[in-house]
Amino acid sequence: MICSPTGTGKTLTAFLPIFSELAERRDRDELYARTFALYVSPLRALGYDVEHNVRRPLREMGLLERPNAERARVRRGRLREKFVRTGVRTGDTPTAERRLMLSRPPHILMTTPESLALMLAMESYRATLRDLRFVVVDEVHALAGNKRGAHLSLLLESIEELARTSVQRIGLSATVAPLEPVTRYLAGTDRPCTVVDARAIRETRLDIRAPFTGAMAPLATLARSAASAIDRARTTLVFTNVRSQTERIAYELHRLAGNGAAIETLDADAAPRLSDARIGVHHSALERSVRHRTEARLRAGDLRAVVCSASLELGVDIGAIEQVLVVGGARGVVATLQRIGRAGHRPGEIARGVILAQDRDDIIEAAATRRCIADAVIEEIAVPHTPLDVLAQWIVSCVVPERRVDIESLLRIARRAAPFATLARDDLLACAAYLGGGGIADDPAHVRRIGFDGGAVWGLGRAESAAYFENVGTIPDERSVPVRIAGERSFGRLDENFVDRLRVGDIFVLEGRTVRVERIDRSGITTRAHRGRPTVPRWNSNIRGIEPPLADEIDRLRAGVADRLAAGERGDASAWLGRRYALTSELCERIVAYVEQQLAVSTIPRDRRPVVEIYSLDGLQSAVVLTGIGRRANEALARVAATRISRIVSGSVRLLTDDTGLMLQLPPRSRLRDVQWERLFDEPNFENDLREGLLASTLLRTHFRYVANTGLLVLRRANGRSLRASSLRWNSGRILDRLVREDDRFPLVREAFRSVCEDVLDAKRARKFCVSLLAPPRIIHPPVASPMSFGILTSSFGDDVAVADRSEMVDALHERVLAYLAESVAP
Amino acid sequence: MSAGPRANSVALGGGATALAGGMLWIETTASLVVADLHLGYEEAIGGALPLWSLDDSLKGIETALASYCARELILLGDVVHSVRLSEGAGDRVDGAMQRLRRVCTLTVVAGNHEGATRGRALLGECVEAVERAGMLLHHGDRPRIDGLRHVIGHLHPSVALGGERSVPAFLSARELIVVPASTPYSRGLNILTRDCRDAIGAYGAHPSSTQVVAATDTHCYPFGTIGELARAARALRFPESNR
Repeated sequence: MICSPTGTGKTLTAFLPIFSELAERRDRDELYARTFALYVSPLRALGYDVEHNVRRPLREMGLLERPNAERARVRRGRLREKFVRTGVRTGDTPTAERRLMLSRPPHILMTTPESLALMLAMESYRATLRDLRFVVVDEVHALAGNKRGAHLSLLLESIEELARTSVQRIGLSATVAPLEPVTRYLAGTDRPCTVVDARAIRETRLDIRAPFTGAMAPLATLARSAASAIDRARTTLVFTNVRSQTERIAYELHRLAGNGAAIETLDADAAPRLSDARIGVHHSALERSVRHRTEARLRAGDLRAVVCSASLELGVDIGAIEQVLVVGGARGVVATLQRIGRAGHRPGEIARGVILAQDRDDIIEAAATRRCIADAVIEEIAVPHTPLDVLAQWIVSCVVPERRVDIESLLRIARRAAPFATLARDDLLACAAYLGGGGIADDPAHVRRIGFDGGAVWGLGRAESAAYFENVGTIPDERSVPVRIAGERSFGRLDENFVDRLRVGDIFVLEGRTVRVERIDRSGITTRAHRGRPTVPRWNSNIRGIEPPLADEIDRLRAGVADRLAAGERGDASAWLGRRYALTSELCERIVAYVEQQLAVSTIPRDRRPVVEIYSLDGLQSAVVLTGIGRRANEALARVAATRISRIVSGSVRLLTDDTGLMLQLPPRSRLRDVQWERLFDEPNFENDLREGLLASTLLRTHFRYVANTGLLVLRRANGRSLRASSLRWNSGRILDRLVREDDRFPLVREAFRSVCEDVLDAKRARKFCVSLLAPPRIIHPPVASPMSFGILTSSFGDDVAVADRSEMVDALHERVLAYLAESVAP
Repeated sequence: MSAGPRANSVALGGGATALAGGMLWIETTASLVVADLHLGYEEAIGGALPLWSLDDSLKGIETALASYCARELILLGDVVHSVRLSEGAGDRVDGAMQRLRRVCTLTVVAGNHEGATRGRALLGECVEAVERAGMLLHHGDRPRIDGLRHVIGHLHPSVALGGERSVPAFLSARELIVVPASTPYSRGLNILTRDCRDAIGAYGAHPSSTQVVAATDTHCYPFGTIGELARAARALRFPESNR
């Protein structure tokens, strides 16, 4: 396990023993037409990048295959070869190339977990992998903590079963913590692992700028500040937290360019297109070709700056970046290190980054992030605990199309993978049972994925195995909708969830173009170029939440200032900030003023007592609960509280969470007394109330859909066709309702709850928070919005906890419509 | 009929009555009409799932047949989601048809999901249309105007409640009755969309004169006309996701 910051030569390090082995094999005349080394990375593009990078040293060592002459002789029947072949096998690899790979397997093969899963299920590829000696797993930090990584851990064990000799695993990871579970993830449960810990070898420098004087900076002001920074460097990456912000910043930069500022001007008659200037836009909603073009231009030095979301945080070599700007903050220590690690991407160079704070919370977050980096305290990776949907898919992969494996062997192999170390036999049997066509309340399915007789599982042949080959992988199928200008090709894509909220006439920005929605239909969104300001600014779904230890450090900072202010030591508060967080006196002063304002109308949550601020918004009683436990835990807490409220009032409780706390809004004509608010966070029945709150939620339904797809219960693609996402979403909800009714111990129902509670929410931390409360929350009725609540009060609502069943909702709607119609016809 | 209080059933004129559960009752011939069952849906989408909706639908239909003393059951097209079912699922559908035939006269109208064979192989005898009480009952995938009042399925009309929730609804005009889908696996066609207006327009029906009756398992809810509901939706701003 090699753990060191970005840009320190990890990849080459990993390949050295592989080069050595291959050179020795060649010298011994043992370079057979087999794959000896696999390189697995979470990003397809990385495979191509790394192939390109390893070919150079191979060429310099005289190991790389020369074209044609040798190839022809090998084809004539020679078993041994003189030169090393490399190849990439991903979903993008053309069929002809895949076919060639079977007849002449690359000695070093770059792939992704999904393509590896496919290869391990195909006899033709399995034959080429039997002499495997090395598996390099890149970006372990991006895999160990999720289901994709759990899937890979099982595949690595499948490789171990397949290979003639033991395979050496080499893991590459950027800064990661804690090392022990991550190394165990890489090595499996019963193998030793050598760790090369070089986490501290790269120097980073993080500056904080706050280009505003009041409470916050408008995006245009941030863009002006970014523009002047861009102007001073050769190349700049501007990171934002959400795609909408990426587009808005790019839009503002473009406007500045149009005004003759630092950015290149554009043809005034053309629809705004940043890609025409030397500033690019990069985020995951853009077409792959647009993203690749931007990456290539950045690498070639054609672009002065690229505004991006997390899409450029990981992965491909993007050339020499001089500086990184992080707009608003990266919402995490690891994310900050990844982002600023993109600058000075060469050994010995200092990684320089600047956080452009958008409001005073950002200044605090940036200061706390810098403290965490200095203390080498980073977010910890939690390896998923026995994801049963992944297990189910792996079981199928072990037997398709016509192999047979006994249950005891499956159990033994799976338990070697760290995420499945404690796999229960009953869980394995339950998965095999539903895949085998039964197991739901004695009502068998007529569709079976595998055969199962209680003691063994087996493949049912090619036709029945198609479901596996068409649906392999664990990446959630988040569908997107193409966006085009009338009469042109599509230029980008939007999340289906976002499109659900769009209406004809809305104006939004995508790839730097301002467009107006003309039509929304099944083929996509047709738009027209527009000159006005955008009316639909946000995609909220991808906001990353702040986790401990950063959340704790932010809490410490606020409490530290509040304590000093309470003791009447204002000067000391400022000095303490300067000492602990290395802030300028001006920034210290702004933080102190912020905390003072908070104390003037409310208070700061501390001493394990949250603060509940009660407001009336549009006549609806709303409470902001300030907790300081991070967004994921806040969301779990919010759902528990909303469930409890719903037992007191009738109607749906709306909820919203952010890093500071959570907000609950009561239905019309409902109110809670202070004493009722106080009791919402009691610990008893926490788990039951969370489960109840999740049952009707969109969150659980969405994740059940992912789980049902991964577990091959409901397919994303069948008979060569993809199911419409809206149908899939709707049907999965119906199926979940039915499954919960029939058998709430069904493995995928349990997995849906597990993955929501553990992977999406932080139910454990939320519960711990409830247990640790020393006294009931402080209830405050602020006369105006407190500074800490301002952000959440001005956000739009996310999910609701719909306690009303459909009948109650129809009743309520019917009542409202009748009242409206009666009123509207009254004289 | 206009907007009014909820009830177990709502008369739609011409002897037709909307029933809770989304079924239509034709008094003069004692016929119960059920549209768009889409049996075998779970399997047709490639799901390794039991055929839950078949059992549920059968139970609901048998209860309604008994309580209304129906002489005839008319299945108004799209009885199955796909005619390409596994042997086991095909047997289950066949068994269900036989069970229904034992308690009443079963008339199966073919729908677009019955494929090119119009369901004959799987469902037995199927017809394209039948006339009852002066109304022409057909699936509705082939719109036509011929002076009769049409009773169709196919459109899956529904009232959106917000988020991912909706409730099936009857649409009733002088020219047309649309029976909601009985399958639980359809979100339905939002009656306030242009697609719905266009579809009923093909039969000469207009939103301002087409009544909406939402139907849950236990009640019918007369919402007034599509036009009135659209006005209320704009004024009351529901549902949030409506466009």
